[in-house]
Order: sequence, then structure tokens, then C-alpha cells
Amino acid sequence: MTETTSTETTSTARAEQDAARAEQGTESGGRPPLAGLAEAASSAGTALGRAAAYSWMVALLLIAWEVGSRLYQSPYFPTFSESAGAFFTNWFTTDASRGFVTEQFTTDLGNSMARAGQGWLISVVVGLCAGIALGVSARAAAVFNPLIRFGMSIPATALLPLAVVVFGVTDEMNVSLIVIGTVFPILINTMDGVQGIDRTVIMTARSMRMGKVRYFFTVLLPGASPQIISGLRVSLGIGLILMVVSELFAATNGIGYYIVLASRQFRYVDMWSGVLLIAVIGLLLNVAFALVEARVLRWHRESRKRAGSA
Amino acid sequence: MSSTSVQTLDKAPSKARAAAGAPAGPLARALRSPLALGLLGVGFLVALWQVASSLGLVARESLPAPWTVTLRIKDLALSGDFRLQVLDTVYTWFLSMALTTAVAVPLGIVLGTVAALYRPTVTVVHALRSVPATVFIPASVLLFGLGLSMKLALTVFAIFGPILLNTVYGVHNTEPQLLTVARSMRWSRFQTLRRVVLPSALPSIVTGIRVASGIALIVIVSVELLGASYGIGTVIVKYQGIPRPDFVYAGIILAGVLGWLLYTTLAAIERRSLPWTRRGTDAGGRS
Repeated sequence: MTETTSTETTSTARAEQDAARAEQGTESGGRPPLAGLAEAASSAGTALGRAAAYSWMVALLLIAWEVGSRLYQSPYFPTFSESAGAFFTNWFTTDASRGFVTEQFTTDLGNSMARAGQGWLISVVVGLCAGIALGVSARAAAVFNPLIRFGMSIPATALLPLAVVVFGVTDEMNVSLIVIGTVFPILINTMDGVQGIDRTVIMTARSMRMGKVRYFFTVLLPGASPQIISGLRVSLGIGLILMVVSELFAATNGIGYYIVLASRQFRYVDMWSGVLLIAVIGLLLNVAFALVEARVLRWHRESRKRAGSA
Repeated sequence: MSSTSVQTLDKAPSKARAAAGAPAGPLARALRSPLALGLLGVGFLVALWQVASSLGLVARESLPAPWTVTLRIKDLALSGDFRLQVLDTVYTWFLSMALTTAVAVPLGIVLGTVAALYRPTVTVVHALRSVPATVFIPASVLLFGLGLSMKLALTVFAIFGPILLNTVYGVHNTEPQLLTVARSMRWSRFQTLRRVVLPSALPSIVTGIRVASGIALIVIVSVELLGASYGIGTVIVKYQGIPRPDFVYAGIILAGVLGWLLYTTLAAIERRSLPWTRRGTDAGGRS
């Protein structure tokens, strides 16, 4: 997929043109012993060039922030350079023994990530198991369908006051809220994915007298995996939203708590440094997820491409 | 309600019957219908709730009896004040959806047709989408106050990405052969857009709007919980503070009904207006 889009955009992005030329150079210049190395280097160059060619708009947005805040002159809306400066002083140090991060970073971000991670993992396990079970059994799906539809319709944040009543201001409160919010997208996508497996494929597997375990790992899971992964991606975003909200609402530490505390103590630059930190973390998580997804679903994309060209 | 829930389940009954084997009498068949099975599931949950609350398995202040909550649902649904608060939430939801759609869809069509802008746009939207919108709540309360403009700003930020991205993808993925055909027919740019690009991009656009509707409601309710003057979230927080857990439960259930209504309405409009797409109705990201 990236191949086709890159050929379309080469005419516009000079950096990428260079990279493409470098790639062609290694193609045509025979196969010396170091071909693999050169190829790796050029592909790294391509990736860098592509990143530069694609992310100029992000830079433009940050410049707009800087210019806008200088014109607007509000204490609530500090300039990007101030916020970025606070971002580095608040969260990072030059102290190698602490791993170049401040204590604030470890306590606040560590706690937040532990909550989000626990909640998301519980949701993945529960959502996958329940989703597969309901996807296989039509009758079970019919029994639970209204409950699932309704559970999904409740905006998870509306449960926040209730969670505080039941659990108090504890980690369990945050985790349970994240679980409730993220389990439904995973469950429903898994269920749909399992139900949507081509009947011919199921019949083929049955006529081959495939064992149950083998069927599960070679037919059912791969067949449903594109949908499962899209459910996982959606739930990751929702999980982050809920992590922040639950910490804004009631927590004694964590990055959301840091932000709300800073805003109450009129430390607006610090508040924006927290916002920037979450932005960076969210970005990194999504990039990591995209990489895993590309690896796991490579067969899927290739088979679709083959089907399209045939 | 029943008609739509049956529609979403359209393949279940045949499967259930096939699993049951021999054709049964009308009564047995009715008992095996998805509606009956669904009622069974709901009934089971309510029974569990009743048992848990009457045996005192959970503290009374965290789990009132189902009947009490039912009465409170009636109280809330009949109270004029609550209806005004719900209207405020729905109004914000509708305004943010309309505003975002009006801006993001034309923008997405432009960005999707101009090849040079496609990748940078997708990158920037992905970057912004990775930022959980709720992190801006304290800042935007400071900047916009507690009123409608604050709710709108946050919600638009949260749903602009999904709608724009789906529009751009939809336009970008137009079948190239169709575009070639349009060119060989010497259709103008506008004609091509109207006859080729839009019909093929619409399903993707509508999916984006449907996904956005769920996110919008989550964000609006979070904002109302954390600091807003009106809305269904403020009611729930108020009753939590008193504390009246029965009213909290009732409010949450009504919020769920509201979410379900908004979602079902959108899904029905989608089915009605886009009859040429018969893909899995619930595929893709939902929230």
C-alpha cells in the first residue's frame, strides 16, 4: 500500500525523490557483497525522507501555535516554546542514573500507564474470550446482544461518579472504568470478525477434518484478526481518553492529576507541559501499535493485493 | 426498539434454527427467536441485580434495588428540568456533529483529491488523533469558560479527526478505473466529483460520522462531569454529591438510552440513504 501511494507523491516531495533514486541505484548497481547493508541504509533513508515529507504539516501546526499564542497573549495559553521548555525541564533530566527522566515522570506517568495498561490488558483478555465465544455460538450471541448494545451505548464517562461511589478514589476505580470503556469495542469487533469468516473456508476446514485446536489457530483467529486488531486500535484510544478523564475527576497521582493540579495552582505552563507529555505518549503508543499491526497483518494486505491484481 | 434489534441480528435466527435441527412448533420457535433470547439475557441480569441487592452482597449505597432505580428513571424522565438538561446535551451533540461535518467533509474531499496533500494530512490527523481530547478540558475551561463554546471546542477537536480521515480515505480510494472512464467521457471536475467520487466515498464518510457520534457523546459527558453549567453529566454529578445512588443509576441508564437512540438513528439513516452499500453494518471502529 505504501508503495503505490509513494509513487504518486514522489513528484511533489523532493526528499522522497532522492530516496527513491537511491533505491534505484542499489537495484541497478549489481549485487556486491554489501548489497544488503546498502539496501538497509537506503531504506532507512527512505523512511526518514518519507517522515520529513509527510510531517511538514505537523511542524506548520506547531508554528501556528507559537504565532497564535504570541498574538493572543493569554496567560492560559502560553507559547509553544515556553511549554516545550517546561516539558523538558519537568519531565527529563541529564541524570543518567535515573534514566534521563525526572522523579515526577516516573511517579505520574508510571502510575497512569500502569492503570491504562492493566485496564486495557483485562479488556483484551475478556473481550477476546467473550467475543470468540459469542461469535461461535449464535444462540449465546442472541442472549447477550441487547446487553452488549446497551452497555456500548452508555458513554463510559457517565459511569465515573458511580465508580467513585463503589471503589472510592483508588486505582481500582480508574482501572474498572477503563475496562468498561474498552471491553465493548474489542468484544464486538471480535464477535463480528468471527461471524464474518467466509463460510466456504469453514466448510473447507471441515471437509479436511481439521482438528478443533488446529482450526482455532489456523482458520478462526487469522480470519478474524483484521477486525480484532481494528477493535484493539479503537479501544487503545478510548483507554487513553478514560485514563485522563478518570484522573482529572478523582485521583491522587498520575498525569491527569498533574494537569488539573497545575491548572488549579495557576501554573499554566506546567499544565501545558503535561498536555504535551500525554500527546507524545499517545503518539508513541499509536506508532508502536501501527508497527505491530503492519507486522501481524502483512499476510492480509498481501493476499488482498494479490486478489486485487488477479 | 424491537425492529432495529432484530435487524441487526438478521443472520442469527436462521443459524439458531439450523443448530436446533428439526423444525419446531410455533411456540418453540418463538422462544428461540433472538428477541426472546435477548429478553432472557436482560432478565437474567436484572435477576442477578435483585439477588445481589436483596441479599446485601454489595453495600446498599453502591447498589440500590432494581425497582427503586426503575421508579427513579420514571421520576427523571417525567421531570421537566431533567428533560432540559438532556436537551442541552443533545443540542451540543447535534451542533458539534453538524459543524464538524460541514467543515471536515468538504475539506477532506479537497485534501483527498490533491495527491500532494494526502500524506501530510493523514500524518497530521493521526498525530492529533493520538492525543486524548479530554486532556484539554482544564485548559479549555480556562480559555472558554463553562458554557457551550467550551463543550463545542473540545468535542469538535475530538471528532474532527475521525470524520476528516474517513473522508480523505474514501475519496482517495476511489476506483482508478472509474476515474479513467470519467476522464474518457470528458466529464468536468465537478461532474466527476458528483457522479464518481462522492458515491464511492460516501459509505466511508458516513462510517466516520457514525464513529464520531459515539466519541462526541463520551467527550460531552466527560466535560459535563468535570465542569459545565448544563447537561446530563451535571445531573449525574449532582446526585452523586447529595448522595443519591438510585438517581445516579437512573441517570446513567437514561444516558445509555440516549446514546443508543442517537446511534440507532444514525445507523437507520445510513441504511436508508446508502442502499448500495451492503457491507457488514457494524464493521470498523465503534466506540
